[in-house]
Amino acid sequence: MILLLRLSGIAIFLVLWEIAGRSLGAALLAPPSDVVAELAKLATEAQSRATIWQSLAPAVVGFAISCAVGMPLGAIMGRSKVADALLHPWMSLFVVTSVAAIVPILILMVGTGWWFVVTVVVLSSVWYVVLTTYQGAVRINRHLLDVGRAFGASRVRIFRSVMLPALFPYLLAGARIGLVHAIRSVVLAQLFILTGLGGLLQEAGMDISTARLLALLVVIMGLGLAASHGLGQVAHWLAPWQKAVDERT
Amino acid sequence: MARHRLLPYLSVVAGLAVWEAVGRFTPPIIFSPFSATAWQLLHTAALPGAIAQSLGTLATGFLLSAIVAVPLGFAMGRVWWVREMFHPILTGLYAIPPVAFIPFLIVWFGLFVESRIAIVVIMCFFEMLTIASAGAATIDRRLLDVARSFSAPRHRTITAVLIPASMPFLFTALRVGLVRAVAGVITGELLLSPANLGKILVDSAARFNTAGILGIVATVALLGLFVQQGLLWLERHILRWERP
Repeated sequence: MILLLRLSGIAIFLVLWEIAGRSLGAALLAPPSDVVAELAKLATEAQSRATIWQSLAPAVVGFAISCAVGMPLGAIMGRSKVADALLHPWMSLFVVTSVAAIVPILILMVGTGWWFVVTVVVLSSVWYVVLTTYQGAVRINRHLLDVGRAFGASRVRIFRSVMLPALFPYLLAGARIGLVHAIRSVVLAQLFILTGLGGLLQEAGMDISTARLLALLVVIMGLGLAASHGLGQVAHWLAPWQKAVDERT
Repeated sequence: MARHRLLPYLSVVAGLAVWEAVGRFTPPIIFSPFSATAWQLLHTAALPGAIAQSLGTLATGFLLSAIVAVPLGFAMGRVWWVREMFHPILTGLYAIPPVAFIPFLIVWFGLFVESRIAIVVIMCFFEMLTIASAGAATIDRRLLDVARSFSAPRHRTITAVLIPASMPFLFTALRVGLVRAVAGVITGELLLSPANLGKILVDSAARFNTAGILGIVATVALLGLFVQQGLLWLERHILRWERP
């Protein structure tokens, strides 16, 4: 029944889109049938396929850097009052700052190469990783830590056996939000310097038909869904007993 | 305790000092010290006008988005078949980065203010929708049961129970949405035809005027912080009963 409703939701959406597309014309809104044809064409173009794959590399590298920096930082902020007091004002400032606004000065500082895209990815995703980990670290149950201490566990042992398992769902949620922002910001960065996916989108925008543009949006959507689903699978495989926490902080 | 209360301010001052020091030791073409940035900002005549224009775009886009996102989110949270029908499509659309819509928006709305409003709408729509629907889904059943056992009429249940119970998450939704909307404004002003704050930014970048660039970045950052703190303040004043 639920599956039926879901499928009917998608079906109604596609039918409405098809009708709107047919009546508005491909120049304004290509109908899904055209988009599917365009997707098939896109899949056969070796050049476009390579561009799309290459665009993912800076997202992955930037995301890895964000996790490597953000997770320890968030944990430290959550467990140390001093670190929290020192860093929190900056975190709140950076998380509300739009990366788009920093792009012009980044271009002057690091140029428009591969590392530019990585920098944009890191600067847009790291804050979410930090703040989500922080939420988890603040909420670690005092009693659990006390039990560890009462049994004379070393700091390393407490970290490994108590804090890490308690943090895990938050690390995961942080990674997920970070990944979403990493993919968003790759597209943002590449739209500024017109390479990779951004370049493809820009080119497709020049076409008379919007079919190619919409096909690219579908590809990006697929990448985003696959990435976040994949991350969920990895987490489930690493720690099947954990439930994911709510991603809103 | 007093020490920890003072530390954030100290940290901000120290951060500005580091900015100043780094700015002095790097060539002005790459980075500018804090003092030069503040000076430049005070002498940008177009700034107040640009901020006002940007705020206009922000308000229009944000309101348009909220008018659709909040009721739809509410319906998705309270009515199960609405949720099941909309959920797959909205998850898919949410996975598309809002900026990726820009070439499409140009086709539909052109390069100017209509497109900028559209990007703001898209930027904050899904955040508000998810928070509103998750919040509406977790409204305490017992509150509704109380209303039912006193056989409250439907409109009474809505005004006396549902609306007050929804206020906290509605505020969260609006706050998160508004911060995203600020990001949307500056993104639109940079990636479409440069305008307002975005235009000052692009012009400064073209002249390698890093003080000008940093000034606008600081303005945008403060704007985001300001709307967030403003809504938090409003939330604390309106939702007095939520405070312990």
